[in-house]
Formats: sequence, C-alpha cells, structure tokens
Amino acid sequence: METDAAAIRASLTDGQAFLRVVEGHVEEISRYLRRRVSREIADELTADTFATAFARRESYDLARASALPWLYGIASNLLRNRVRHELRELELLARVAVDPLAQSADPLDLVLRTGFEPALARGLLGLSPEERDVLLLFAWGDLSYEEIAEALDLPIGTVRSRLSRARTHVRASLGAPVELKEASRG
Amino acid sequence: MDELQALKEFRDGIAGAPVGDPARERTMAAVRVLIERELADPPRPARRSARRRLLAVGLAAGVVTAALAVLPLRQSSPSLVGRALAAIGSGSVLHVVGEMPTGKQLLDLRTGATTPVVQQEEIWFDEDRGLRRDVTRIGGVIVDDTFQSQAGGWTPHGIVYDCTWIAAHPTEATKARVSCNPSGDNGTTPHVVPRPKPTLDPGLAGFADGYRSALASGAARDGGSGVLDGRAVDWLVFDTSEGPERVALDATTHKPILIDAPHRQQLRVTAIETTDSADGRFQRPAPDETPVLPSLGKSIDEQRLALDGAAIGAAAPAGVWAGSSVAGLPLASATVQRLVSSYYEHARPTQTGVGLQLDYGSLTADGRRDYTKPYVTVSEAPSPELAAAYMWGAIRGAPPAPGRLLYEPIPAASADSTALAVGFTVVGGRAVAIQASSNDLLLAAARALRLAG
Repeated sequence: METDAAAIRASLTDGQAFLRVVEGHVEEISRYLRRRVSREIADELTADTFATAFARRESYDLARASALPWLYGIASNLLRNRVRHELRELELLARVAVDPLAQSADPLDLVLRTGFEPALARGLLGLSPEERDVLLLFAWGDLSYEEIAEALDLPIGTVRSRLSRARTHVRASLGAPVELKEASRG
Repeated sequence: MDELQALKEFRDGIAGAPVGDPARERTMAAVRVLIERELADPPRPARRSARRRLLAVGLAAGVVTAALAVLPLRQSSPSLVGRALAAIGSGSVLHVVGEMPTGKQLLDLRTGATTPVVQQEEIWFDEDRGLRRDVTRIGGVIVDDTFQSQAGGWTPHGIVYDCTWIAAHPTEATKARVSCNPSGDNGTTPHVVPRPKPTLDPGLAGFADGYRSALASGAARDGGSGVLDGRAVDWLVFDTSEGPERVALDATTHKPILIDAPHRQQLRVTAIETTDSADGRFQRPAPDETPVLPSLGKSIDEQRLALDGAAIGAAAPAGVWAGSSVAGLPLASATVQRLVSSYYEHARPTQTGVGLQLDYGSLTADGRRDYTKPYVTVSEAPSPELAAAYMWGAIRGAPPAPGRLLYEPIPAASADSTALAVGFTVVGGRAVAIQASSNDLLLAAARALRLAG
C-alpha cells in the first residue's frame, strides 16, 4: 500500500498524486474540524488545510510515512484564527446545555448523549488554545505524544506537560476524583 | 467515566466528509485548482536541493565537518560564521530569554493608552547532559515551569507522565488513567522504554556553536542581510518540516534577536548566552513559585433580580453595573449566583461567594441571552479566585490593576455576528469579566462600570 510520503514524493513531479493524500485523509480531518467549530467554518478550513498542505508539500519530511500528523498540525494552525468561534460554541453549550455543533450536524443530537457535555465544555473553555489543541489531538485525533509534537512543532516535553495539565483540568471539571498524588497539573 | 472517555464520546455523532459530501468535493476542487495552476506555471527547482546534493556527496566521500564549515554558501558566509562564533561564550549550557506577544492588551480606561501583553520565555538547555528547564511568565507571574531530563519531566505540581514512566509503572499509570496505547491498556509488566533527550528550537540551539554545525550540515543556510526594527541583521534560514524558520542575527553583536518560525508567534530574543553555572536551574520546579489557582469554578443557584440599580446593589453589596443600558443595549437580565471555586487535590480550601451577572441586549423566548444580536454580559465576583466561574482563569498571569482592562481585540476580519470579545478588569475590588459581541461594546461596558445602587 502506498504511503503518504510516497504520494507526496510523486506529487513533486506530478501534482495529481497529491489527490491520493486528500482522498486518504479528508474525512478524518473534516470530522476533527467539525467537532471543533461550526460545519460551515470547518468545511472551509478543511479545504484550506489541504490547499496549504499542497502548497507546502516540498517541505514535508519524506521520512514520515503518514502525513496525518502534519495535516492535523496545519488544521490546528488554521483553527487558531477561528478560536473565538470555538469558544462561543463551547460557552453556549456550557451555559444552556445545547450543543450548537451537534444541532448543525443532526437535529437528533440536540438531546445530549452523556450529560457530561456542559461540564466538558466548561473544562475546555478553561484551557489555553495551546492546551486545547494538544488535548483534542490526543483524544479526537488519536495522535501519540510524538505525533502531536510533530504536528504542532513542539518539544515533546511541552506536549506532555500541556496534556497532563489539560487532562487534569478537564477531569476536575467533570468532578472526578484524582487518584494519584503525583498527578501533574504542570 | 474518565475524562478521556468522556471527551471521546463528546460530539462523537459528528461525521466527517465521506465520498459525495459537498465539503469533500470542495476540498478536492481547491487542490485541483492549485495543481492546474502549477501545471501552467511550474515551480523553479529549489537551490537548496543542489546544495544538499553537494553536501551529501561530500559526506559520502568522508569529508569532515571542518571542511564543510567553509563551503561557500555565499560570499559572506565564512565571516558570518566567524562573527557568530565570536558572540558566544564557552559554557556548556545555553540560556535564552525571549518574548512573544499574547495578542492581549492592557487598556488604561482613563487615558485610552494600550500596552501589549507579552509572554516571557526563559530556557536553560544542556544538550550534552539532556537537561532543559522552561519557565514562562506573563506580567512577571510564572504560568508554566517544566524541567526535563533523562530521568523524567516535572512541573511544580508533580511528574509529567510520559511513555517511559508509564511503561516502567504500568499499574500506577492505569490508576492515574494515563496510557500511551489508544486502548488504554498498560498491562501490568514494567517495560523499559528509552526516554528521548530534550531538544531545542534549531534557531536557538544553533547559537551554541555559532551556527557552525547547522550551516555545515545544511540545516541552516545564509538568508542574506536586512534591517529589522531599524537594526542591521544577517538572516539565517532553517528548513523545517513546517517550512522555513528565519533567524535574525544582529549585525553588530551577532546574537539572534528574532526567531520567525512558521505558524508560531515570533520570539524576540532579549538575552542569549552560554554559561557553565546553571546547575541550580536543572532541578524540579518549586511549587511555591507558581500561583495556586482554582482548577474549577462553578456558578449555581441562580436567582433573578429586578432590573434596577437599587435591587442589584441590595442583592450584591459592593456589586457594580454599567447602568440601565450600554451603548443603547438595555439591561435585559440580572441574576445573583452562588460561586464555588475548588482547587486541584484540595491545595487550598474550597471558596464560596456571591456572583452577579448582568445581560445587556436581547433575550430569547426562554429567557437566555440571544447570541444572534449585539450583546454585553458583565459577570463579577468578590475576588479573582471566585471569578474562576467567569473564565477568569483565561487571564494566565497577573490580573489587571484597577482602572485597566485586559482584553484581546477582535480582529476586524472576524467582526461578524458570532464574534466574542472578552475582557477583564477590577472595579472596587470586584473581579469583573465582560463578554461582548464587538470591541466597541466591550470598551463601552468597561468604561461605564460603577457601584450599583
């Protein structure tokens, strides 16, 4: 099976090859963005993410087989310009227990699924944008520490400390007990 | 349910863009347009490719670093390296202090003068021993402090979980609900996983040897001369996976003064040196140097008040308001709330108090704030700690002094109906958070705040 790196390498001489990278990851990237901001903005950012990736493909590290962390990194950077939209949706959810993103995806999702959503929204609101990126790439993007470091161009120690702090904060927002004395808020 | 599982289920019903989804087609179309443009105007081969090939040939032939260091990157490069080498000391530890913008401003509500709020980064780095200490301050207050070593990472609040620690302590890691496996299964058998050495931004790390290695290996290239903020500079360019990172070296002192990395805030380097006397820095951060902030703030037991200053003042003694209207938006709702602020691991006793929230603008049919129309919300607490329920934790750093508003202006391009401007100020000892649908409304509310009643 062709790796993303092989497709990107091929795209340096034949741009069409990059469409295979888009085909392979557009659903995942768009889902991540739609979970963070409204569908309208997310779909715009999805197109921007892959257009940016295409324009920057010469700088892609071909030693990395999967382009997914790189794409998540570009998407995260583009999201930074829309952070207010994300905060507004979270604030609405925290205050009135209605998730505008779920509403826009499917009216049936108006009924909150777990009951934790407003508390989670409060927890996410209390994080810095940088901490929120790390946490959601870990939880929603299923990226490893190393992949998050690669995606956000951060030292891995920073990823660890931000993730540790973000998880602790969100855990506290859920009212869950903390079980390990050495647990880090960092 | 732990926080990770809750997060995974949060908005889990939202789907991506499958085949046939208009967003997918739009994305494909956007890339196709770029492909066609490129076909019509092919990019010129990058010069660095040729140089890298040259370096690769040199390395294959066994040419040593000393020879590579004088490869003619451009005519002035050898002297550039020499001058940069002359700027550093002989110590093994790199010490850097820099500043980057936070995007926030401090506004003097009386004079209208604004001051940008910067975040200061201080780094101590010993590459050979694998040690790194990062201290981040805003307004002189430590907001982040991390020490990394080959033995692990620590913050003022304890260890930093990493895959090395988790592999070595699988049972404890499971109790702490941390894992490096997506399944969350750590097993019970300890394993040894090597811990990677801490690294440093190439534009800073390269200073340790005057950028000699970076230039020799091709990691950095000469980017020519220029002027930055009125100072003559020499530019170095590092090609990273995210794009070129540019480093400005002061043409007189030959020290880096700016790191301009892709998709990150520019770091203004205010001090950089090498030293041998930094062992005191390479230790676990002390908890008492970092402010202990509430980890959770809640507002509960909301009670509606009559919409006049006397009623508001009676229900919330010392409470402030912005009058019966702000910039034409009428006061639509006033409530008092019980505030509860709690601390991680009960580091401080839980605090309670009375908060006041005032909504200016329109309400929806069910009495909630109408976000689709212009609005201002003023939320206030008797102390910064109790204002945790009102996003006060987002300040990170020193709270604003009385008479000043800490806020992040909405860029003009983002000023649409969904805009959210947030500001913080202190009035009569009350910690006040203001949310508004525009910068103007935010400032109008901040300037109008006064004692209710």
